[in-house]
Amino acid sequence: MNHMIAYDRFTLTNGLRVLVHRDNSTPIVAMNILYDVGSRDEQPDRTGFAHLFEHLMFGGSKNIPKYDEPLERVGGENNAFTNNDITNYYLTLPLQNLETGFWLESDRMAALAFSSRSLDVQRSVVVEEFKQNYLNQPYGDAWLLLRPLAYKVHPYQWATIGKDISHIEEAGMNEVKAFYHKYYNPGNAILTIAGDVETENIRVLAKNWFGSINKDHLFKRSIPVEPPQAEARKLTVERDVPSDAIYKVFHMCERRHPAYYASDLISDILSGGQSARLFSELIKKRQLFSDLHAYITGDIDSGLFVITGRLMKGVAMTEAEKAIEEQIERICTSMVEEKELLKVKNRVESSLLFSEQSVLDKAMNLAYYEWLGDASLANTTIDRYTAVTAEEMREQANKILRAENSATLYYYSTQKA
Amino acid sequence: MSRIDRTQAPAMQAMDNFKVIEPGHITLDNGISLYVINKGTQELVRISLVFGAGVWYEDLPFTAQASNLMLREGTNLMTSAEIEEKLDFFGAYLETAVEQDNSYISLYSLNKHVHELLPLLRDIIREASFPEKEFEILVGRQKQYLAVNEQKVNYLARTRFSALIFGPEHPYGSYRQSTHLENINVAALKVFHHQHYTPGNCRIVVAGKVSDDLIRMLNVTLGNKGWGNEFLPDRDFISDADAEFKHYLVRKDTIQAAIRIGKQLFNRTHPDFLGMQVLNTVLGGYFGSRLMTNLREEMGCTYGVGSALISLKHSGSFFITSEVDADAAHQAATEVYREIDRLCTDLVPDSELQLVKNYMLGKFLRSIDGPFAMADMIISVLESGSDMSYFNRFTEVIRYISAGELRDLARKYLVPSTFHEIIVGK
Repeated sequence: MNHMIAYDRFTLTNGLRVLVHRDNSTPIVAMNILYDVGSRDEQPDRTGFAHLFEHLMFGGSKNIPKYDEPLERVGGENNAFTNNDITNYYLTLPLQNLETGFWLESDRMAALAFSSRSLDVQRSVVVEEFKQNYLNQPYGDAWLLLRPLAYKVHPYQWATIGKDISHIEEAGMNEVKAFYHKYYNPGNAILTIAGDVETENIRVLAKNWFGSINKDHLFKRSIPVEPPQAEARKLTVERDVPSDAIYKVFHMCERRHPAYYASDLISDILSGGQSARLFSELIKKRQLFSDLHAYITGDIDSGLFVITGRLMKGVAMTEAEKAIEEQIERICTSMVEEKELLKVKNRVESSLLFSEQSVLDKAMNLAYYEWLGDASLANTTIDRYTAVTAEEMREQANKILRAENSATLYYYSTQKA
Repeated sequence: MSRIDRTQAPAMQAMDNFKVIEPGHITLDNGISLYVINKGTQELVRISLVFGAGVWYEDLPFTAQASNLMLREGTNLMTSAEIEEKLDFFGAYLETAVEQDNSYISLYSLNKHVHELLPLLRDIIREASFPEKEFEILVGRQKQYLAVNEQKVNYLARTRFSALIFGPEHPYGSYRQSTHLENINVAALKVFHHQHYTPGNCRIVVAGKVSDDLIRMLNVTLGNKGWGNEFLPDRDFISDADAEFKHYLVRKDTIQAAIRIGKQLFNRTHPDFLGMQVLNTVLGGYFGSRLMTNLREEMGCTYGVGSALISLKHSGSFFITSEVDADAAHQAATEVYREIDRLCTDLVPDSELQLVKNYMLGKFLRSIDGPFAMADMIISVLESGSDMSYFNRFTEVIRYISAGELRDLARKYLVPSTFHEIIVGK
């Protein structure tokens, strides 16, 4: 296989897992720290907290008043993201200054500064982020509406940004501290390094900088399981947007379930590339939609299979929905032909290869797969996809794409045609 | 046993290991320049064709973009559906884009399939058939995208700002309107395609793991003569900036305001361009910049603010951009001018300047990391009329520019009375 990411792995005595990938083709080194905490770990009255906390991680640690400055000073750059499941921090910098990355990341894992000034400011910044990306964009609130329609029990019922701005505005310092102590410890983190490095040198650096961080890793995750849905759910809203839109979601298996790969390929049959069924049939041939996509959310717990589209002006919602349902019917009743199956598998192979172009891509991928259970999945995922059969896909389609398993958001335009 | 001192940053090591690999240069039989960045570790390539076929060259708005988008919508041999089927079957991606000066077509492919795809790439470029039906679908979809964009404050500020500094009739200042989509037709696209998608107007940059065989195949498929060779004299336009400098566009329900402040400036070939890049970085070019520190980390009125220096073939621009709490728009603009005034008045302190220089050197290293990134960098340098010596000048200027020179640049170019300002707010 030509897309192997070779790596070494070791674990420090405090529980921190470390993975090292060597790539001698670049003067840049990437460092990724994944913390196993996301918005699914939040309380229903404090949603958006994991993401707000990510912002606070840049507000200074015990020995470093500003995280970014020393990194920029040695030519580095960093960012982070939070999703339903994880909080991921990453940085890239010239290889010769890698140790600065160890200093920065270990100091904020060891002792955050808990500056109340930083909390005040970041609350405002996150509120502006909420507005910029969700409230002040056409269709921006769709997922804020859809999640609570699809999930009644599981915390995936709220978006990572939070249910409501007030949750962010009310977050207090005590909660910040409790969250940090619970989740930001070496046993709950995965560190990966990719670049022109030797594993033995990384082992020394990791021991020196992270080895002395002794913090308990005690929490036991207990997340409510979403019960099977028994009947179709629908929600209708009107908004000041130029055209109608439809969002249809179905519950599907969790990320580590063997059926995950067949489910993903179903979404590719429908929507992977411009030759896929939804694009060629409903956008091109019938001109019902300006955009139409199918994809899976890929969450660690039972996730969603999503079909979402914006209707062409003049197309009735009922007609658009019926057309989607016909495509669902088709994939549930007739077997995907061999050539079409080979096509989506070829696309998966190439997208996996193209997603490993930089050391940062590779560091992030390794951390993600290690978090899923084993970094070697980075190299064997393609085999899981290759092994999927048409029969398996039809079976999964029938399991997932049922009306009583669906939640549909009808998003109507109030603008005159 | 720890040998570390957490109170001190590890000693910084100098960053002097710059190696910009000179791309290979080959002239195809028909005169097309082919640049080769053979640097990949995986068996894949990206083949990018750059045509002087951007907005600058169109007579009717949307012609350049529609011509480019229509390339994949059918050839003399294949329908749109057949083209997409083939691309998807071989796991390839075809990206098209139109900018002010150029149009781009990039094919991403695994090496094992590239020989299947090159003839398709050739036909898309040379034998595009512009079917009427696909054109209608495209126009319908584009109208809907435009309607969505027109509802975004950031889009409004961006497009209207360009119109203010270049003039709404100038190719760098014109922005899309629904009527434009109705005024063009397939015949106009065919003429534009015939005149601009020609070997004399084309450069190719191939990056990844590039074999000699691929280069030979490229010469066979795209290197022959006989596909359009019209000579087009370059065009000239006179910009016509708006006489009013301050504009406010009301969107009464918006909860954030978009701000853009800046001016027309020069491109990469100007002697002050590199110095201005350093100054721009200090002001708003990185996370720790003065604007980010002030508007985000102190005021907390925005998720992000930045400034940028844009190099175009015939001109350039400099601007500050942000989306801020709608109630804080004027205060945010005031702070922007305050930061500009500081650059004109005070010297950038040594420590800050050193940080910015190191940050820029690191960023430069990242921007040439990996074959595709390097290809993008090389395309942008070549297209602005510079050459590979640009990279050496870049590192020299960054290393040696002084705080005094930066202040001189600020006084020369960052004069608020020459700035146009637009706020799209409530």
